[in-house]
This record gives sequence, C-alpha cells and structure tokens, in this order.
Amino acid sequence: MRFFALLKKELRECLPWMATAAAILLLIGSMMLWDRGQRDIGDWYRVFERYSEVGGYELLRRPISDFTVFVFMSAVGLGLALGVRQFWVDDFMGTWGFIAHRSTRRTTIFAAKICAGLISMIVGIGLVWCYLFWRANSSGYFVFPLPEKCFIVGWLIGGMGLLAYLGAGLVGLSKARWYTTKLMGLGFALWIFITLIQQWTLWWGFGTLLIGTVVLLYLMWETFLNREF
Amino acid sequence: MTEFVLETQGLTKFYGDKLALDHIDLKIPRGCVCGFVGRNGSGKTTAIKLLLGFLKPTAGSSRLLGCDSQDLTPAIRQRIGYVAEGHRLIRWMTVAEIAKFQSAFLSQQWDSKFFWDMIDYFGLSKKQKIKHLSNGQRAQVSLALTLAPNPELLIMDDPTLGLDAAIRRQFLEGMIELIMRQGRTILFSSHILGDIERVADKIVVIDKGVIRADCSLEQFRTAIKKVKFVFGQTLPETIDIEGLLHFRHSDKELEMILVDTADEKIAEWAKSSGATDYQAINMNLEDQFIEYTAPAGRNKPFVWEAK
Repeated sequence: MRFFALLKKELRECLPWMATAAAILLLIGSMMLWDRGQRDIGDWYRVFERYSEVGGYELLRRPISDFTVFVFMSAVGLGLALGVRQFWVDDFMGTWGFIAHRSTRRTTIFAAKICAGLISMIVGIGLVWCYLFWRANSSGYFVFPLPEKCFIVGWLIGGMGLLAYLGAGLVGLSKARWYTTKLMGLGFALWIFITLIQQWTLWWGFGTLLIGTVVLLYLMWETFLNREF
Repeated sequence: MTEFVLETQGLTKFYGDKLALDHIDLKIPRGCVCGFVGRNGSGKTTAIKLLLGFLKPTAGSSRLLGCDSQDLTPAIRQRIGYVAEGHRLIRWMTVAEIAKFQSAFLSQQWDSKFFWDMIDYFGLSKKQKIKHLSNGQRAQVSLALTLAPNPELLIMDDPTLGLDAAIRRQFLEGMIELIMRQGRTILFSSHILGDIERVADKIVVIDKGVIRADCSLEQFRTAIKKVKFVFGQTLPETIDIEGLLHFRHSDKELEMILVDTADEKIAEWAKSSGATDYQAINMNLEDQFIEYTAPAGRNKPFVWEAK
C-alpha cells in the first residue's frame, strides 16, 4: 500500500516527460518510415544482405541506423529528464523532508522511484520502439523482413537512456561539495556509453549495459540510504 | 519516573568546518509543549533535522519516543508528526490527493473526518491544487495533514513563519486542539515569541548552536530583568553585580540586563553605587529574548540544566 502510494506519485511526476519523449520518438519515427517508403529500397536490401552475413551488432545497426540515432537521443533525453525530475527537484522544492518522513523505509522510497523511472523508460521508449519496428516490418517499408536482431539492437540503444537516467539521478543525490565530484555519476555513465558502442557483438553490448546499470544502481542506493536531507 | 519523549546527548553537527550545533543536551518530557527559539542561523532547523534523522550528527546522539533518531522505524515515524519550514508539500497534488497520499502511510491512525472538518473550518476546497494555495493556506493543509493522525509527538519547524495574524491564530488553535488531547508532546521552533508565550510551557533558547536557556517559560520570564538606575552625578566606574548580561548607559542613567538576580541584590547594588533611583522595566517575552541573545551577552553562557 505504501509502496504503491509512492509509485503512483512518482509515475504521475514522470508522466509528462515520458509522454513527451514517446510523442517525439513516435512522430520522428513515423516520418522516417514514410520517407523510407519514398526511397530506392533496393539499395537498402544490398546493404543489409552484406551486413547480416557478418552479424556484428554495429553492422546490424546500420540498416536502421537513422532510427537508432533517434531512439538513442530520445532515450538519453528522457533518461536525463527523469533523473533530474526524480532526484533533483525535491532538493529545489524543499520537499525531501515531506517525502523522507513517510512511515516507510528509505529502501521502499528508493525502490518506488526506480520502478517508476524504469516503467517510464519502458513505456516511453521501449513500447514506441516495438510499435515502430512492427510497422516497419508489416507495411512494406523494407523489401524483406528485418531480423529480430535489429529489434534487439534498438533495445540496447534505448538501454543507454537507462544509464543516463541513473547517472543523472546519482548526480542529483550526490552531496559532494565540488562539481567535478558531483558530476562523477554522469561521467561514469558516459564512460559506459563509450565502452558499450565499442563492443562488437550484441551480447557484449548487453553485458556492458548490465554491468553499468548494476554499478550505478548500487551507487545510487548507497547514496540514497546514507544521504542527508 | 519522568518519561522523556525527546532526548539528546552531546548532539553536535559540523557542516564542513562550520560548527552548527555544539553539544546539545535536551530532555523533553511527555505532555510538554516546548518552544524552541533562536535567531536566524542559530541551529534550530539543524537540530530538528538531526532529531528526525534527516541529518547525521558529527558527534552525540538523539532519541525520539525511545528510538535512536538515526534508526527511526516506520512504526515510530507514524507516531511523529512533522511540519517542515515553509510547508513544502507536493505542489501538483490537490488537497484530496495529498490527504489520500498521507493516509496511505497511516492507515490505522488516519482520522479522515478530523482532516476534512479542519479543511472545512479553514474554508478550503478538496479540489484545490497545493501550488495554487497561498502560503497561509498551505500551512493550514500542512497542519491538518499532521494533526489528523493524532501524533504522540509533534515537531514543527517555524510553522507560523510568513503567516498573517489571523491565520497564525487559527494555526495556534489547531495546536491547542492537539495539546488538549492527553499526553501529546510538541516541540516547535518559532521567531514569533508571542506564539511561544501563548502555548508553550517550556522554552529552549539556542544561539550560535549552543543552548542558552532550557527552563519553564515562567522561570525565563522572571529571570530576565531590565533595570534602569539613575545617578545624581557620575556613573560608577565598575559594575559588579551578579547576573549582569550587558548594559547601556547615558550620562546619568544606566540600564542593565540581569539574569536571575534577586531583587535584594539589585537594591543593595543601587545603594552601594550611589544611584538616586532605580526601577525595573517591564519586558515582554520578545524583548527578553532579544536582550538575552543580544551580541554583547553572547559570550556569557547561562544554561539551566534540563530537569
């Protein structure tokens, strides 16, 4: 009951950002699909045929690279916005006292925030990506069906938004006196980004994302539990 | 044996190298209404945040309802009402939404009828958003939210700051309503000494992070005295009277702020120093507080031990 009350509050606060990111991604994605339909698709076929034999995710990404750029931008934009909304704004508004005095454990407050952030990322980016992929595959934009791996690449790219979310959240929670120390959360997230895009296969990419997420999540949890409000 | 609802032992807090609280020892018994007063930056909010476990002490400890402030369990928090400075509530919620949110954490204790009666009394609507309420209205919602669960201990950080006289009165009436319930303890900080005088039975004065008075309100009222002495010729060269905090003078008049000085001692000193006349000047609590914490007297610690 307490967790759900907190989750509902957090979801309500994330909703405008989630809806904005979803609308932008949906609009730009739909426009790109329409634009793709006007082009010589034979060229795309030749490109994809060559790359799919190699199987590296960086190559698999290429036929859909213009999509993934927007998935990346939307996911990172939404991640940063949610991180700021959930972990910075209470400081500015002075509402931490009201939140922290809830008769529940700090872990529950933290869990509700993170769950709401994840749900917002999944709905705002993940579901829109699912819809765009389904549309691209179903209405003849490509002369061949896009393989599942292309779909998974979209999720991996979208997952980078999660790193941005956790990095921004960690910066918001940090009470470090120096900006360089305070910004270390985002610095770490950026380092994981760079490491991730250098991975050759999908699974190494997901592995890097998972490690980055777990480390950032742990750092945030530690900071939240020991933080002064 | 007296049961202390709130206790601190050597509570100390540094922000970097700046000392905010210096070895605070406080004991507040059950049923007590304690006014916590101090100038801006004296350490009131820091002390309250330490008590509620929002800040970590540099040294010392504090306990609320028998539980260490750093480990307040949800069950203990449920028994403590807290009104934050500035009444910072979640701005996008309506009055009804914030009541529902609050009640989710206090299911057994939440008195919905009491809350809505108070909201009606304050003339607020349940559909009004917090962000559209004035400072005073937000204070009213904040008070209703805090009192509806009938807390055993109520901690308020300058709750009447920025409120007009009428709303302040309503706010204090709300507090009195809680006081009238048996065994309820209140700690509230305020700049407005008139408010303290109306409801408190104990006063704690904090200055530059140090407790400078901890006694009953009555004791404080009788202890701080302002006495004006008139001299025929010149003023005495030295002033050696017990309890002198500070003084001001003109050519033939000397005004002293005295602490806990017996009337006989004052009369004796007037006679020995050649004063032609002297009289005690009436002060209200605010005057007493200002004189007591005036810079000239700051280096003269005067602490009543907590009983």
